[in-house]
Amino acid sequence: MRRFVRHRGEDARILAYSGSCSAGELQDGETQLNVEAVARRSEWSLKLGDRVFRVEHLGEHRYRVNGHELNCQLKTELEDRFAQFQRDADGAGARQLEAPMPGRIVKLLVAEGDRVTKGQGLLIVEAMKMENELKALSEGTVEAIRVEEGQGVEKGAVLLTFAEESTEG
Amino acid sequence: MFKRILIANRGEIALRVIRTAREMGIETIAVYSEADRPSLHVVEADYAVCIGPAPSRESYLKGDVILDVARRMGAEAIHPGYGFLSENADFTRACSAAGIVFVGPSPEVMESMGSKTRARRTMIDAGVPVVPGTEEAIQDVNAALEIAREIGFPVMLKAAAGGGGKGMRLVHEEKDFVAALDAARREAQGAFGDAEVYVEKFVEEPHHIEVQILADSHGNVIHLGERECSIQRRHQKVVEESPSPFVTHELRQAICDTAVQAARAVGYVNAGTIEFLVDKHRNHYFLEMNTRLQVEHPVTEWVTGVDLVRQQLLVAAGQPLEYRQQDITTRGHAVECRICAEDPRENFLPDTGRIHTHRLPSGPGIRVDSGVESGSEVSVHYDPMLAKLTAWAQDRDTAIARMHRALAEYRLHGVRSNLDFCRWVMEHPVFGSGTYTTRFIEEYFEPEMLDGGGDANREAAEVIEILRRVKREKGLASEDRGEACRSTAWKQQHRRA
Repeated sequence: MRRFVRHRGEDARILAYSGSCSAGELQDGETQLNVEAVARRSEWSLKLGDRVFRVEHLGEHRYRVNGHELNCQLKTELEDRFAQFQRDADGAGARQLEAPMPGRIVKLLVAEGDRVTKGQGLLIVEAMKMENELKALSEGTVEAIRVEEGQGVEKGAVLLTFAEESTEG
Repeated sequence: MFKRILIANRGEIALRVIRTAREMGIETIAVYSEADRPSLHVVEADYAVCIGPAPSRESYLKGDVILDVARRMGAEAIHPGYGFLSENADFTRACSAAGIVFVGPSPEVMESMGSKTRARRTMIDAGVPVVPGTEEAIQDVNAALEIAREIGFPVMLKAAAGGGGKGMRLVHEEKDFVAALDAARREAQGAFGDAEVYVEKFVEEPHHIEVQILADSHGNVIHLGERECSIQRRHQKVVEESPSPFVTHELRQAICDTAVQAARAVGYVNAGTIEFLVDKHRNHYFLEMNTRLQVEHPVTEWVTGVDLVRQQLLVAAGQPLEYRQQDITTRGHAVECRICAEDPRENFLPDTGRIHTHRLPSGPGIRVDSGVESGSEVSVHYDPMLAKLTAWAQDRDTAIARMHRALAEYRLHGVRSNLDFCRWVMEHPVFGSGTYTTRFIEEYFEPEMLDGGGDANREAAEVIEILRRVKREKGLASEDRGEACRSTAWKQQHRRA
């Protein structure tokens, strides 16, 4: 069973899928749908229940369904939490990076004293067998790293801190 | 008839000429740039000669090189297609000096139509209506006002040195004229250092409508009705149809007669097109003459049943046209969409890349003139138009529905395309009503309107996102276990994505 989060405007809803890459079942709220797909190269003949869709993959997250193009990107529940966490932290302008969920530090991508730019990868955390890269939310200097590679961390644990930036000059 | 001709072009139009030539038992010589060896026009020709590197100016625009090839290969005629050398009078002259027939009009006619001011004078002399206005800048305010009255309001004031809308003023009523003229002059002086201003009739809610003509060297000139080409982006046509839904029986008679009259006036021979601006009152004004085959000629071929390229070759060989005016009847309605590698969401910016999937629609009333196939490279060197999709049906509504159906069948992956945009046009009520003008796209189109067509479609895409992910994760897992992976292609593709 894989759980994904679908955002439509303000609404967020769980899509749960169990099955293979060609057949399975989709739980969408109250509705349960049989999924069956025949793939060729960059297109699929997809059946949701008895309804047939012609789905083309145009690149990245761009699709064309029955002649209509659209963008579609789904996050797993976990990725969605990561994204939410990063958004929250972004707003806070935090001087420290905390673990968004329990996991294991796979790799450190920076060292103490490094100058990092916004969006630069800081470290990789594995949670529920998925690797997630935590990125710098703003420009700054890494002051201290509080974890080691291979170490397990609890949710909310401080992973690293940033030096206080002088605001003058 | 010729035994062998050279086609001085590439892409869909070269292929278009090859098809008719083959039906007529004429051998074809393709010329191609170093980038175009795998291209369809080379694949389908009888002979092919490489003429230089990829950039057009070093290959397809090299008239002397192409003429050498024609001579050496024993070509009796050169078909220029459209673009490239098709309206180059010097090349036409060089052809006739070399004793090779140029499939098109004489260089003199080409030159007389090539310059806008010369073409305008020629047409005025031939009694063809042009957009009324002054040819020279007006100094005296009262003289300018007098001219504006004569032309009739609304009028447009245009800076002689103009461009980019500066020094332009639309004047609806006589009482505003003097103030507007002063303002336009000041603006023109400020922007271009030149205060000269022209007065021109303002064409209200303009339609771009053109008439196809055919003329032979025996004095026969006929028209094949009109095409409506008002759907344009970046001043280039993207959707065309024939007949025009805006043209009445009376207007059709008038513009077709005018077109024949214009062609006769300049002694035109071969296929040509007279373009008109038609305002909301259905007044028509000569815009320009294209002395070649047009991109959108298939819609005329659909409704008349005439093979225009065949007539071009017959005329070039000195034979009479196979049709008299009374033989030409039109039947039903045809629509064309130019399928281009471009992104309608990004201001129709051209896209490049490799087309990895190209599968064409088919079925009743569908014709595709395509210059590409799966595996073709779309490069920066050439036009981003990949194919012309045309649909014919007994009436306009059915033709539009058929085009809509065919667009959905079309598969084009690897470069961005305007397929979804064309679908949007087919669904638009103003397009459906047939009252659209050249301002259609700027007035009605917003990229957000390409919205995927509803929640059911979105859910289908979401499911495919999930399935792609399941497949990718399965692939990664088997790789971790050191298993040989049979499906590396998709994995690499998805990793890249």
